[in-house]
Amino acid sequence: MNNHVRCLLMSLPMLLFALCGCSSPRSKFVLLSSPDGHVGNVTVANKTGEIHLAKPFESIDLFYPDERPSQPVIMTEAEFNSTFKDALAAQPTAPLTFLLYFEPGTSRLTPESEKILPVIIDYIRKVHSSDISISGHSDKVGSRDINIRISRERANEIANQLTRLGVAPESLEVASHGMELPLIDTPEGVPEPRNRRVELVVR
Amino acid sequence: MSHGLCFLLLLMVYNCSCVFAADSDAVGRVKIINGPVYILRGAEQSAAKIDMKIVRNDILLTGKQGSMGIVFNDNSTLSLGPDTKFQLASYEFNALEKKAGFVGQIRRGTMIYLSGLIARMNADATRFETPVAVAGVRGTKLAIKVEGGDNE
Repeated sequence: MNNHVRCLLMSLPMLLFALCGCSSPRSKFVLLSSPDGHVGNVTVANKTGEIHLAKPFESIDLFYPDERPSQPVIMTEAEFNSTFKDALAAQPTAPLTFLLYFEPGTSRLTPESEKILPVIIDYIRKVHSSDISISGHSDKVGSRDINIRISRERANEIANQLTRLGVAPESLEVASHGMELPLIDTPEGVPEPRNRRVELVVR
Repeated sequence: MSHGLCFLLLLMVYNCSCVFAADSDAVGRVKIINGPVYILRGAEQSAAKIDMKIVRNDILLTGKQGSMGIVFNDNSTLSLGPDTKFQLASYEFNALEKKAGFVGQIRRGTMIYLSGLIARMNADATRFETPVAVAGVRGTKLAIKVEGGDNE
């Protein structure tokens, strides 16, 4: 009985420590490769130093805010998969971007791009997307104002076609950017078919 | 003194929540939900639903059996495992104004982030803060686990 009380008293500070969230907030960082195979890099830093992670599954484990980040270690794939099991399963599909191109100065799709529309519709249905953004763009032929109008007409044209093919209008977010965001940078007045486009992102 | 500090902090949180409640610009959307998942916006906590909008300063909470996935406007994605507390401290993505930045704070739990267009616009503008360190992410995928952090 006495022993039990003593034990309880002794563990009380530990318990309080744990309850108030003052226990050391251990943090583990793991670098992964992107789905396209690209591996960027991560810098993990605190007030005592910093370290770079540059290889897939390279990881660093820190227990205290003033612990100096030391040599990274490679986490095994099995350990990674069990540690991050639920976060892995909850990863959303990365959004898919489609590019549609237009005839010069018009909101008429090129014949090649016209063929892509059914593919886009199929994809929207497959992923049950209700979050689609449509951004109209132009090249740098003509004035800024004319290009704002043309890019808006292009975006609206695609929005109308999708709606006609059964996509709910409330799923669409339509924007126009004129000649301000070219994919290919050109001087003003230069025609560039790759900039006469609608970017359609299905999320 | 510590009460005074608490009050001050509460006041700050309260004031912030007013500012950000007005800022209803969606910067992302909830795409995947499993189990109990909540969004704390200012003082208001609501159960997260598919396609719900995320705004700056939202705190995302998952229960013991919960997990969630989010897609942001720049096409970056974030997923959270169970018993996680994550705050979107800052998010800027405006190609016309050339603004790009992502700051997340994970107080406990697990997360996986896959970078998107923000990283392409500014490679040094994405970071995640934990109680012990800050991770600067340059165009890649990163997983973080925080144990024994914020128990609120």
